[in-house]
Amino acid sequence: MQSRIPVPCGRSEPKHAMGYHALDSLLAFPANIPPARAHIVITDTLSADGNFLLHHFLSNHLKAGPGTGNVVLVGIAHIFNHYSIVGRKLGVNLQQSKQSHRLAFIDALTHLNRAPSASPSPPSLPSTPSAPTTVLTRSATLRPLHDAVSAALVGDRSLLILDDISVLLWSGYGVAEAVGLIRALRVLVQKHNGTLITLLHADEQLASDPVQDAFVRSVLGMAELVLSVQGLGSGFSRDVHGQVNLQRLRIYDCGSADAHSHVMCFSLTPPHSVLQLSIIHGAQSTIHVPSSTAPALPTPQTLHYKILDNTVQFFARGVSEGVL
Amino acid sequence: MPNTALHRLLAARDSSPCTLICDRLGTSALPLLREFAACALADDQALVLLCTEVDPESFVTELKPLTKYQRSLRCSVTIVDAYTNPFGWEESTGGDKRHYHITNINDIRHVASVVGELVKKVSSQRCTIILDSLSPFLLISSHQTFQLFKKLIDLTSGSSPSPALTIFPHQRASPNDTHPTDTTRLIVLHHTDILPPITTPLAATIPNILASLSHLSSATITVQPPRTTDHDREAQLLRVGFVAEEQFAYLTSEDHRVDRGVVVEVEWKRKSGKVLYETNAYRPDKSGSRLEVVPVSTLLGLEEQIERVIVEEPTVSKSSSRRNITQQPDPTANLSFNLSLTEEQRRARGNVVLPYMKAQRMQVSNLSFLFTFRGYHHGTILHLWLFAFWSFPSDALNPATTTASGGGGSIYYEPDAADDFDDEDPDDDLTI
Repeated sequence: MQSRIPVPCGRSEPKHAMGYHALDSLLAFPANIPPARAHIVITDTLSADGNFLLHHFLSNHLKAGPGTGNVVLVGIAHIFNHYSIVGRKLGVNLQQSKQSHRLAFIDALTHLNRAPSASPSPPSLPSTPSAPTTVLTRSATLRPLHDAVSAALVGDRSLLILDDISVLLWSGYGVAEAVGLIRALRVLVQKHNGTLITLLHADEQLASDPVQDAFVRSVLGMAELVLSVQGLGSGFSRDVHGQVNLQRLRIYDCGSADAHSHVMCFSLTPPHSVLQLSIIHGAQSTIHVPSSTAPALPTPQTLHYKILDNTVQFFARGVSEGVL
Repeated sequence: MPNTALHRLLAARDSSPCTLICDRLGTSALPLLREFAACALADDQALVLLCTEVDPESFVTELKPLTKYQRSLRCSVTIVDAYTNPFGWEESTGGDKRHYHITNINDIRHVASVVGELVKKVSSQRCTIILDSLSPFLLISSHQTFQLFKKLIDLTSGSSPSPALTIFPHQRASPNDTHPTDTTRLIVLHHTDILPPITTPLAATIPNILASLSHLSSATITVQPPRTTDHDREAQLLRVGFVAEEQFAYLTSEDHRVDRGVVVEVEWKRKSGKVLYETNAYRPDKSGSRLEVVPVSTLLGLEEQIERVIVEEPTVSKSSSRRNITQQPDPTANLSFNLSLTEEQRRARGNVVLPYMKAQRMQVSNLSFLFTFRGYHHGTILHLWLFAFWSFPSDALNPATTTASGGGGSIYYEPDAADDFDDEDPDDDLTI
């Protein structure tokens, strides 16, 4: 059941193509860039995947003008190839961005756990476009990750994307360490007047585990804005064919004795199903007095959405065309 | 509202050496913490900020426009920064003596000693210590966090703190007798739903951290969102008999709505030993930067208006229906029998003699009569009473009333003509 080799997800997603204009107008960020000095936490569940939001923010930032800093993408759950394939459908060339130093990719997946004896560890970095900027190896603390990010962040209004931080916990790092890392990265990004975007898994099944629960609550307490995607409470609303596809299989292995880290998850999202997105203000946003220095956040609301082949469609709760 | 417990705590008008503010994920108490800081600065107190979850520089910057005094905040605010560089991963930038950086948050004892030193330096004036969140310390070690908390409470005593760091669990902070309010007070924020995971067998035996903290605090403030009843949900429940289950979510779009206000429950242990429980509320004021304390009903005002609407009964006439909008419907209307009284019946009811009234009146006069029977065997007394009853039928010798106990629990027994006292043993004929 548990494989020692972390299997990368080869997602076969035909969906994202032209970018999400509806999502842009919903979030209403000025110049489609997330607000400065803000921490945006994206929470998703097994029934609803939050990756589309990450790809959206990534492509928006890369398409933005020269006034913004670079993007640092830390891949803890996927390899660079995955992002570049999706990015191609969204109209951005990640390999080119990486070569022009607009994007830095830190591979925290392939060597984070005990490396298999077959492959060299750590690999020497070839200068091909698809090679990551830095590869992290397993260490006792998370300091190398912090140092790698610190070296990679350049310029004002940069963007740091962590995809996704639940894997850190499942890899055997303690709650205090993982939360401490997120806090340290938040401080780092604020120095660059940038934005930190983290993806976190917040399933109901994980809430019964005190370690996972403490981690999710701690990270959510650090957020200015929370974008939460989940399936509908009433179950999936399927399309006409009623098909259920087993889309991905993710197997995470932990090398340590931590009993909580053996998790096998698989996602069962039917295509074109209606899912729910909630926009929530975070705890850190409550401390700002209304003034010009406070980040402009979208209105808290809950919407239903459907990911189609080329775009995503948003509608108010209960008014999708399958219902009315 | 000047007389509420929350207002008195904010303004430091009464003594509360340690105030513990408890919040949860959906309702943050950070605005309340900011308000405490603003009130302390407005009151000319020195402020010591120990920050672990909020950037202290931005916290102080937010405070600047809230204080009416023009003098620089740098003179009155000392920062112990455990937020910027808690693990020492960044190079320390030096900084001034009023902004002390903690570079190893795992050494909680060191944090306690640093705060102690800084408070000693400002001991000449009144001082407020604000600790933004114990959660990062709790995730490292529960018992060391408790010791940190205890050490901070020791700082709030009126006398200068002892240099030794030995902590005796039973020792409480001595009350400040010379000043009506506290020289040094402590305000701590605690997230009650972030529970430290149990990593060692010893940790499982430690009592609940919230109970330990609130036991040591003089005041505990718990923040909650204003509870609004969902009328649609109740109506649906009445109509179909079930409601949809709430879907699990850590946060919903209804959370962190600062404009809706927050309800607080205050538990305040006074020096006199009395414990005061109050439910107050606060919300942002018109400018949005300060908080105003309001009655709880103001936040839930909409609910009260809705509760007053009562469905009118169709048989009630139009003129009385208008009256009944704010009154309960009359239960004696529309009955087939008569429940009302005529004047004559009312007078007759007033004149009815209640059965034991005379007996109760007689009780007082019979007490002196009873004293003469003391010293006799109980059986003798009973026979004497019975004899007295039969021989002297006056009310003064009524045996039922001659009892030593007054008031409740006394049994009034008047044997009537049909009663027959039989002295034979009723179990005589048994052959067991």
